[in-house]
Amino acid sequence: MSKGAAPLAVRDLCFAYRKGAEELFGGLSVDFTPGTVTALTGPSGCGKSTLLYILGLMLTPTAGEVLVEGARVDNLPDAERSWIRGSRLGFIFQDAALDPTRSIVDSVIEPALYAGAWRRDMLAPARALLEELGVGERVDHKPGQISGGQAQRVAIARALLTSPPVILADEPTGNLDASNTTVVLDALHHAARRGHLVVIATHDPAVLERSDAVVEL
Amino acid sequence: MRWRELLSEAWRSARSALVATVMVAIVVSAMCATTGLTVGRAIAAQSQIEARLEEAGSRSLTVTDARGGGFLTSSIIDQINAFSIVERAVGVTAAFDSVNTAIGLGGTGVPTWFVVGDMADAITLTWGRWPEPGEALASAEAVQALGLEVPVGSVVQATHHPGPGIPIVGSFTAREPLTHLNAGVVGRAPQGTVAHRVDVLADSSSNAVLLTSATVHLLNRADPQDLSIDAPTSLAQIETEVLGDLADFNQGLVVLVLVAGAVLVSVVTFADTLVRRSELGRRRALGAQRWAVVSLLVIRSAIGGLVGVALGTVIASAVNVMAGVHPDPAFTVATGVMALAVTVVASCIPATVAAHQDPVQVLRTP
Ligand SMILES: Nc1ncnc2c1ncn2[C@@H]1O[C@H](COP(=O)(O)OP(=O)(O)OP(=O)(O)O)[C@@H](O)[C@H]1O
Ligand SMILES: [Mg+2]
Repeated sequence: MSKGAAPLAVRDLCFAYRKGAEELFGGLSVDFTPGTVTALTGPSGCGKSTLLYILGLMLTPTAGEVLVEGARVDNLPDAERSWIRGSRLGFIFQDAALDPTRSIVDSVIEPALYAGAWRRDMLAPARALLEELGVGERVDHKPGQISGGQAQRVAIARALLTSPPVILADEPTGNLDASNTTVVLDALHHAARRGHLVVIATHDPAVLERSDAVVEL
Repeated sequence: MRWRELLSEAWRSARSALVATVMVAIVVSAMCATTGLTVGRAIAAQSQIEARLEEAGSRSLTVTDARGGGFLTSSIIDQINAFSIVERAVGVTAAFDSVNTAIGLGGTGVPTWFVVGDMADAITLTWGRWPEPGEALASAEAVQALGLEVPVGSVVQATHHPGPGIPIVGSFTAREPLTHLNAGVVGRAPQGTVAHRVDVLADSSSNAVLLTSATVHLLNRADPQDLSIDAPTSLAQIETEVLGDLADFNQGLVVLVLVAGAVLVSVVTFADTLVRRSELGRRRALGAQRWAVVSLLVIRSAIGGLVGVALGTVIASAVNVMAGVHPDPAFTVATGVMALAVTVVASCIPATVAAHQDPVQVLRTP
C-alpha cells in the first residue's frame, strides 16, 4: 500500500459478461477521491451497475485492475474479496434488499456480523444511526412495515454502520419521490463530508446536480 | 463471522425457513423411527436368540459309557477339561437308590450319584461343608424325602442294607446342565471310581460341533457302539446360520434407510436454497464468506435433524415399549448419531453449490 494512494481506483478497465459479448468501459481509468460524491452516469445498459459490482468485488474485470489503497484486489481469492466487501465497502442497492425476516435494527447490523462484529456491540450505534436518518422510531419493525423511502434510509444505515471508507450506491433514489431523494442524498453527502468515498450509479438529474464529480460511461 | 453469531443466525434462519426445517425434521425422524422399529426390534430378537443359544442346554454335550467299558476315568475327564473350548466337564456314576440309614429299608429311596472330577463343576454348596471322598451332600428335595431335619446324617445304598453308610455333610443345588441331580444325594467319588456319563459344557454354542468331534477323538473307542453321545449341535448350527442371515438383512436395511434419508435431506436442502436464492445472494453481497454461507445452511439442516432425531427416537421407543420390545439403548443412540451425521453430510453438497452461486445474477433477478 503506497501512502496517499486513492482508497479506490480502477486502471484500464474492460469487462464482458462472457467471451464474445459486448465489451464495456473500453479501458476506463478513474481515481475516486475520498470525501466526495462521484456519480456514474450514462445511458441505460452502458454498465453503471456492472461497474459498481466490479468495484464491490462481486465481478472480476476481463482486463485491467481494481485497486484499494494502491493494492490490487480484483485477483484476490473469494474469501479475501468477501472480507474486503464486508469490512471496507458499504453497498446500497436500488431496491433496499432488506431481509424481510429481521427487524430494522438487525438489518442494519447484518454486514457488521459478516465482518466479525458482535451483535450486542452494534445495537447502540445502529439505533443512533437510524435516529440520525429519521427512522429511529421504526427500529423494531420489519421491512414489510415501512415505506420505500424509509427502507432506502435503512439500507443507507446498513452501508454506513461499520464506517467503511467506500460506499457504493446503485440508483439509490430510483424509486423515491423528491423529498425522499433529498433525505437520501443528504445522508450520502453527509457521509462524504465525514471522509467517506461515495460512488453513486444514477441517471437522476437531482443526484448529478449535487455530486462533486461525474464519470460518463 | 463469529461462531456464536453464526449459530444464532442459523437458529433464526431455521425458524424463518420453517417449511424446510420441518421437512428435514420429518425425514430424519422417519429415518430414526423406521430403523428403531425394524432393525432395533430385529436386533432385540436376535440378542434374545443369542442369549437362548448361550444357555447351557444348547452347548452341552453328554457322553455315556453305553456298555460299561469303564473308560470315563477321572484322568480322561481332566483331559476333556483341558480343552480350551471347554467351560467345564464333570462325570457322574450311574444312579443307585439309597435310604436314610436311621430309618432303614422302610424309608423313601432317593437317587444317589458319585461325582468324578471337581464337585464344584457339578453343584453349588448351599449348607455345610464339601464332602471328603465317600461322603455326600443332599439336595433340599432329598433332605425332605429322607426325613432329615437338617442335611446331616447318613444314607445307605438300598441294595447293600445294612452295609456301611454314606455320611451326609451338607446340602447343594445342582448347576446347569446337571439339574437332574437336584432330585437326590451327590457324593464325592472314592479314588479310582469311573463315571457312567460325562457332561461337557462348551464355552459357546458355535463350538459344540468341534467339541463333539474332539471328545470322540480323545476317547478313541474302536467300537462306536461303546459310546452314546447326546449333543444339540445341529440345532446350534441352524440357529447360527439364521443369525448370520438376520445380521446381513439388518445391515442392508440400515444402509437403505440412511441412503434414502440422505437423498431426501439433500433434495429438501437444495429446494430450500433455490427458494432462498435472493437471501443467500444478499448475504454474499454484504460480505458473508462462502464458508459462512455453507455453515449457515448446514447448521440450519442440523437443527431440523436434531428435532427429527428427538422425535423419531421418542416415537420408536414409545411404540417398542408398548409392544414390549426393548432394543439396546446403545443401538438407539447410534441410530440418532448416524441420522444426524447423514443430515450434515447430505446438506453439505447443496449448501456448497448454493455458496458458489454468483451473487450478482441473484441480485439482478428480483
Ligand atoms: N448476466 C449478464 N449476462 C450478459 N449480459 C448482461 C448480464 N447482466 C447485464 N448484462 C448486460 O450488460 C450491460 C450493462 O448492464 P448494466 O446493468 O450494468 O447497465 P446499467 O448501466 O446499470 O443500466 P440501467 O441504467 O438500465 O440500470 C447491459 O447491456 C446488460 O444487458
Ligand atoms: Mg443499473
